[in-house]
Amino acid sequence: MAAAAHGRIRPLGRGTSFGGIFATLLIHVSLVALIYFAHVKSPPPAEVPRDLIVTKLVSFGKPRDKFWLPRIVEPPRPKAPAPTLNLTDNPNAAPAPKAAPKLEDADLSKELRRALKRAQLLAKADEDPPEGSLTGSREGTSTQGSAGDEYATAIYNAIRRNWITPTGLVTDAELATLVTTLKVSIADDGSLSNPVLRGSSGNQYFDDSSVQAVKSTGHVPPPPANLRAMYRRGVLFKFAGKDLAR
Amino acid sequence: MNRLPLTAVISASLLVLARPSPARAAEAEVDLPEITITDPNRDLFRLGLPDGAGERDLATSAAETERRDLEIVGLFRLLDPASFPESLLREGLGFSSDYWSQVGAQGVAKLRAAHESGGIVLEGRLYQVGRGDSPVLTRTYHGSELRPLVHAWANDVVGQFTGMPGVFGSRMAFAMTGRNGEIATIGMDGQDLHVVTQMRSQCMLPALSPSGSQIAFNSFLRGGADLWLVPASGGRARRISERPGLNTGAAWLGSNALIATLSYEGNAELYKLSASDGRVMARLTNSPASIDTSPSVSPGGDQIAFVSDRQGTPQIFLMSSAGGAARRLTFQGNYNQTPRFSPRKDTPMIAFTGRDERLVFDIFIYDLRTGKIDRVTQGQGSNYDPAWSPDGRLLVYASSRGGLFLRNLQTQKEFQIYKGGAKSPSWGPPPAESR
Repeated sequence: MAAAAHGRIRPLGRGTSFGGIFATLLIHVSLVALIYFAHVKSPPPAEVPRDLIVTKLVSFGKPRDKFWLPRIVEPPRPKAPAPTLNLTDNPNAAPAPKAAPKLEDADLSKELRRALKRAQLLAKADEDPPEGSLTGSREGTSTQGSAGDEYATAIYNAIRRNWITPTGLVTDAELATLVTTLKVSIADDGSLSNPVLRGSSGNQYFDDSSVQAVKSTGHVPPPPANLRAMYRRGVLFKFAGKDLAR
Repeated sequence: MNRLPLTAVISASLLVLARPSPARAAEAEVDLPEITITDPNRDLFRLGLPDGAGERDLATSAAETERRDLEIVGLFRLLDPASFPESLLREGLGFSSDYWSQVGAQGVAKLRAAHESGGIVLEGRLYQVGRGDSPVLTRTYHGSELRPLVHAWANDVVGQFTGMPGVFGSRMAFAMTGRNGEIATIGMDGQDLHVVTQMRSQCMLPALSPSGSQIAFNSFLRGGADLWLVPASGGRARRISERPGLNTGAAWLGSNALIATLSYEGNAELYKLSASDGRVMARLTNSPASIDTSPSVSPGGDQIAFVSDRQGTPQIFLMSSAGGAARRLTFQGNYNQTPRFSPRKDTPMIAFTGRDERLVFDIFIYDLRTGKIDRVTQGQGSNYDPAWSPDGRLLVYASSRGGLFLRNLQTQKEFQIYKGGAKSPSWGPPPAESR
């Protein structure tokens, strides 16, 4: 009789513990909420960057004579009229200097002859071949070579070509310290997705120039078959103002 | 009692479901390739300036002034409006980021000008491509003349980009050379030239007062090199120092005193004079058998840079504005002159004229913090007599190419603002609305 009483389902009525039912419901609601937030609101996967080395070719040219360091680069010379103004404001100043000495003059001192030769070489500065190495490449862009990933190099060259930072709004001194990181996906046909900012440099014009570089590029060579999945997931572009090769 | 095991089983199942799946755990860390791109190309910020909207003549004039101002300041590469498609020209003050991106613009500045209530209303909008279709800067200006309103807009545009407003509307004084050697003032945009003196003799070395209301200058009207004052707006000049010998090369120390070169006691030394009556207040240098001249006062008024040949050749020296021992700054070259302090206290620099080994004069800058000297001009004739803009961003100087040139020191962009014989420019204070 007692066993039969235990097996029967008792209807609700006297003796039912509403507190216990409430506690059970509370526990189950909490567990459901836990499942919901664990699966739906889970944080985005952390991105672990893996540095790819870009190949840099040494440019073809003549190594620069250390004597010229640092080089003074002259702008193109316009035809200037001969000076007609009196350049001194001191009534007691010495008379204006005579015409400049020439290299052909016989009575030049050794120092003056050396200074005139240097001035002549400076005057021909824009005729010099670009600086580089005699064993460099005509497609080279660096003063030091480094071996690296071929596809990464192709991406680097495509984007760098379109990367322009505004002088005047980003000073040279600031430029050396700025770094912007963008995440971009590369589709199988080489098209670049809209860049997503992952790390700001703190300078909006530098950040904008990096984003614009990716958007202007638009397409890079299609990735090799074995790398498609990786580049579809995304690549991190780190735009650094400083030239690390110098 | 049987509910307890059932509850426990259900709870345990739910806990298992709550745990992240093994597949998701594997995706928690994604191995992304990183490519570092370095050494960017450098160019000026590309700014589109479409034609102004509103009343035709006013809009055209406003656009011309705006273009000239933003060209002079040397921060922007202004796109050619001829390259803008019709759809962009019909936008009015509106904006479409995508269309402007296609013409290569990074920013766009738009104006609308119209007569209203007896005066002129100028509306300006500044947009940045890639930052949405709403303006980053919106301004409205009211006034009776158009040019000052456009200058105010240009100053605000510069301020938006750099954090420091521009100084359009400020004026310079300079000495005209040739037969008509008077003192003139001119706007920094090269417009609005006024000849201020009528001395009918050679005038030189003008110096605008800190308020911009007076100009100290030299004239040989009475035979000697005397020191004069004239209102910057023109009017009667009055002589304040006519001592024997030199009374020349004044620089303002505050609004009530001048530092000038006098030689009435023997050789040329620096003295502090009262600006109201030319009374000698103090003698600042004492170096017999040498010439001390061309003073420039630091922005805080505590130091004076000047030229002296006390060690053989004209070089730049620095001393306290109370006088005393002087420290030599320049050691390269044998002819350095016309030092001028930058108005910025945070970047203490002195621009000066130096003569190089080819006997050509050029502009150099001495950094007081590091002692480093940078060359500003080269290979463009002779350039001399630098003067700083009130914001320290630009230099104006005379050139043997004929006239006055402005240069942005950050971008090195140069702009000729005056053609003709000119020397010794002196740049006045910033325009009233930006002080």
